[in-house]
Amino acid sequence: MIVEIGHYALALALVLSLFQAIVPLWGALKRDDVLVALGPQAAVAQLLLISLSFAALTYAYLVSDFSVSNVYENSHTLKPLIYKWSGVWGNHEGSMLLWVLILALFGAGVAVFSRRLPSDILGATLAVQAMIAAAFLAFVLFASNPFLRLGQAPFEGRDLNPILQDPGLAIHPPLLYLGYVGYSIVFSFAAGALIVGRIDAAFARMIRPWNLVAWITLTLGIAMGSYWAYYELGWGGYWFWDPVENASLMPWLTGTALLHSAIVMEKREALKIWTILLAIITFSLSLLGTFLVRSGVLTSVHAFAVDPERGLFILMILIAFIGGSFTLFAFRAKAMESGGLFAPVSREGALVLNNLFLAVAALAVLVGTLYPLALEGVTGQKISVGPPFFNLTVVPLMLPLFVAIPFGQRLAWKRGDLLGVVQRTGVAMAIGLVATLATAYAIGRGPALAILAIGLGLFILLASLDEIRERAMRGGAAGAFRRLLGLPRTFVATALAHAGVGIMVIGIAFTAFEKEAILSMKPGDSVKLGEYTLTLRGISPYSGPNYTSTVAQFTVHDGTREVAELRPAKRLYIGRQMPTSEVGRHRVGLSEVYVAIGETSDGAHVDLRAYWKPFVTLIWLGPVLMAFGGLLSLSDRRLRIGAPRLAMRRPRRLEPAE
Amino acid sequence: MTRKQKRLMILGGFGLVLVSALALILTGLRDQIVFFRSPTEVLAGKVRTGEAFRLGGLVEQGSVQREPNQMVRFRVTDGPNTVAVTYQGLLPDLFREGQGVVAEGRLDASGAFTASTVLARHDENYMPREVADALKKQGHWQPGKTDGPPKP
Amino acid sequence: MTLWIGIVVLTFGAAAFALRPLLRPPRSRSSLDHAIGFYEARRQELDRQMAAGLISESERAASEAEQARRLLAIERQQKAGDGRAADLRPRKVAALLLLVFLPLLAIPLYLRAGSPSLPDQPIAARIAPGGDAEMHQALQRIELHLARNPNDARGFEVIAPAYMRLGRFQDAAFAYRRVMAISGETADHLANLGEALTAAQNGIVSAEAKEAFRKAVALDPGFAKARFYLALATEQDGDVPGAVRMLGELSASLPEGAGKMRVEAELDRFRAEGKAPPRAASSPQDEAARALSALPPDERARAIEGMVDGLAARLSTQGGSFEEWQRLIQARVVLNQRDKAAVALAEARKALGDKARAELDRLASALDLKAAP
Repeated sequence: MIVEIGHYALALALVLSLFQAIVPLWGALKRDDVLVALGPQAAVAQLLLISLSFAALTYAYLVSDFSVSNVYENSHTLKPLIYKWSGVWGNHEGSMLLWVLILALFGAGVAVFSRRLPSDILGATLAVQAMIAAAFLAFVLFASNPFLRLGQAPFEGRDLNPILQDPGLAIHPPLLYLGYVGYSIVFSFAAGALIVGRIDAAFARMIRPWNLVAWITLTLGIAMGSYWAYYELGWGGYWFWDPVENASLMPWLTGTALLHSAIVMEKREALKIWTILLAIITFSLSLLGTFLVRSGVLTSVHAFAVDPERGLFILMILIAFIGGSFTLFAFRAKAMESGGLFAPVSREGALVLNNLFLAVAALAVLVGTLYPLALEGVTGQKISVGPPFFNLTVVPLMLPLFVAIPFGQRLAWKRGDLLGVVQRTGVAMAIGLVATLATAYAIGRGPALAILAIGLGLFILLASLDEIRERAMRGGAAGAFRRLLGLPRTFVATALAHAGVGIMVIGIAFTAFEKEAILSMKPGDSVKLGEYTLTLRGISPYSGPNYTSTVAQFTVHDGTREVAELRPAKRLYIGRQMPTSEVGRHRVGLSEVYVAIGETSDGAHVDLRAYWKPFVTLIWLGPVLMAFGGLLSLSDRRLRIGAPRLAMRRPRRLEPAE
Repeated sequence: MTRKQKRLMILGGFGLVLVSALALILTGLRDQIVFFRSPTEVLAGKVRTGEAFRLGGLVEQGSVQREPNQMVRFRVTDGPNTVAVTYQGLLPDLFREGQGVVAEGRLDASGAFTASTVLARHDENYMPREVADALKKQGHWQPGKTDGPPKP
Repeated sequence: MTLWIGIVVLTFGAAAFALRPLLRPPRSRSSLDHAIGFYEARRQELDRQMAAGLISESERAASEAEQARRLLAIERQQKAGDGRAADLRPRKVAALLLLVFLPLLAIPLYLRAGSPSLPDQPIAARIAPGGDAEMHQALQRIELHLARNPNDARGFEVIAPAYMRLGRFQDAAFAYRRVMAISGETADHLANLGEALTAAQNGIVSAEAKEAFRKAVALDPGFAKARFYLALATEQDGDVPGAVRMLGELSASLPEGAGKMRVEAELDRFRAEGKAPPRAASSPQDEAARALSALPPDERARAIEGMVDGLAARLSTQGGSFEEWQRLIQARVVLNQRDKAAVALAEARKALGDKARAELDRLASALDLKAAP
């Protein structure tokens, strides 16, 4: 009964979303606030219904109700409880249900905070959000229904893909979806503002919290996915330029651009058309990502359901929303008057530069991801566009952007003083330079680009933090602490997020200095990894609840001192006869010793891959700091205004010497 | 600086970045892509010696030989034709005889293929799409054999 | 029924929730109010920044002037049409739309793929002692155990018949092979392996199965099961007289019972085609059998079914001995009416009570039959 109620609630939510797609919009156009007010109410009702539906499916998983086809396909009575929970969204149908749940969550979020919004924009926005919800609810009900039942219920399920039985899976997809789907509400606001025809600084203010939530979760989701791939796949890599990774990176790039351009719009009423366009593009890329992942048109590790019919459905949704929004955009673009003017060298100019590079990088990723599809469609030739392509295109586009961060952050609004800014970053630059030389000296030889990148990362990190100090100290050391506390949180947030970029750059640069050993060992053998020595002690079998495994015991020595014991393993999951690797890792500060084992063909030898990975943790620490910056900025409810610097002022010269 | 000059400067900067980015993308698409080939295509001489490409097919039954120093020799087949592969390194978890595989590498002068990476994917039912297509072309595709879940 | 009550409650609950603002109209802000509020807040923020020493007086003045310009622009735009509609008709239409279409669309949408008649089936509730579920669970445990202890012959011996019962013949054959690889070949295991292989091939005795039976007979020359399958193999090889001869010898060597009946049933098949000699002894039953075998095949089938149905009717109304019930059940099985055989078995259990329970159980397991509920 519970399962069927869940199914019905979903059907009800679909009809309700159709209602919500029509009535508030009607109210917005007729200026009838009562009709508009039906929108928030319907949005909350939708969230409740879809939550009920999701709870029903979760219940079916928890009690192993194998009469539900989806549970039978993806669960197993022996599965540990946490994976019964996470198994709900560890498969195609369940993950799409999560997708619409999050969509409803954002819709209801706007509804709850609706008192701050003008009624016509609220009505139009909720109507657009409901159109998206209707499309995806229809997709779930017609093409990917998780509530289909089996007449003859089997007694045991087919198990969840063992590679997905990992705590990482429990959080990675929901985070990623919060990000992906979060941009839906930004899109809805953009479409709503276009429908109503009022696009101004207030719009940027409205989308700010949603934009930040989406960006924070997407950032964390991508970082989480990268970390998961690093320790679960046993290849020691953190980014593979896999199509699905690209699918999440593209909205992140344009979403980051949107975050910056919306600041210009909120503070200076400039870049309006561009900001609206970015909002549309970002959600379109989220939809494209969903399409790429769900249709299985690309060869990808994530394609756990490959079904052309579903792909076609999502493709149609994609075309309808992108086409619709661009048509609307074309209609209204003329009506948008351009806002505040600014000089090329100014905070606005720097943010435009940021947008340009981010958008072009997103374009490069898009081309690299879709080119194989297009080529195969046209000529039938199969190619793969791999890391070399992305390294060649994306890296040169990101480097100038990174270099520009410390300067852009310091430029004044409307017209800036580049020379003065360069002087103010001098200390950080000098430290970065010294660090670069020191690194080069300490490491001896190494790829020049990597050493430069370490210096760049340090420069960004130091310059970002230094800006906080500088602002606090402006006006003398006295009262610096009071000023520090009085700094707008958004300002500190920006500095921290940019410091996060620097940290990530350092982490990535250090991968060039990792030590790798691929060899075959027998018990007693040792291998040297940088400062550490890895010794194989023995190989033994082990049995877990639903797998058997071969475990290799290693000890890690620093000189003669034993510092750690590692137990990497090769598991064979019985339900699916599927092997997986368990990596052994020993963390030393921010660095790691990393061992993955392969075949133990004769029982006496073990093939293994071992790494010394200096400062590898920084790769994920950076994004976490970026997300923290976002969170801090989210907590600042104050408005942001960029007071323009007047042309005739020469503040540097007029200030008395300190 | 007049407003017109400013605008020109901004547009010029934009254009410069865009043009260089496009140039990068096009260069990348020309030089940095690898083609996917089946053993039949390789034997038909479609691949030049020394050119990097991806070889896809099934690992031939009984062809895997493990040698010291993690050297592995195996043959990749698409039915009528096979290509011998040598690879040094750790094979992926799902590498098995009779299963689909994609190996990236180059042909040497003698026509032997040396792989730099060997890929097998997450899902045990997973057949790389290119491999499936290549096998279909050779008439060796048996969908039933992959034991996909029954669609309700 | 509870489901439908739930559906009704859910539907009207959702409609009532969504339509609440019609009863209690909310206070909302017009666009102009919002714009004024927004710019007012901005002005206060500028004051704050000023107080914190972040901007200078002239910067503040410039910023305020900018904002005033924008606010004027918005006001001009808004003045054009800011009449509030008090028309009630659209609201009524909206309410009606929702109340009518919510159930009208949602219920068919749900019924398209829903299964309102299916109850929830949590696994815990389905595992009754002795039920299929328990067997599956036990099977799982044994499989797990065997995956870890691949040399446990006893485990494979236990699991093989279970596989046979579930129709997993390939797995059964694998299990029997494992048993013999570990603990050596016996006539029993060889014959069971052959049987599993044959069942996996839908009754065709493959060369491999035949080899297994041959070895079994070599180990135990009198082993009836192996000899029976060898005879079938001989027939499938095209040697009908050879098969008939082997079946005849086998039948002669067996005592009366289920085994012999099975062999005779095969022989009857040949007799019907005139490829085997009629039975030696002539009892009234055999007379009837001969008369039957003279009929054309489909009439004969009908006649046999008629006789069996008659027997069934008589037994269920008047009762009968164990032997009579046994004959009925076996006949049903031979006629491939296993469901009716199950019913007969259940009836027999009821009619005979405790006195024939053991015999019925033995019969049931020999025929691999379960009583109908």
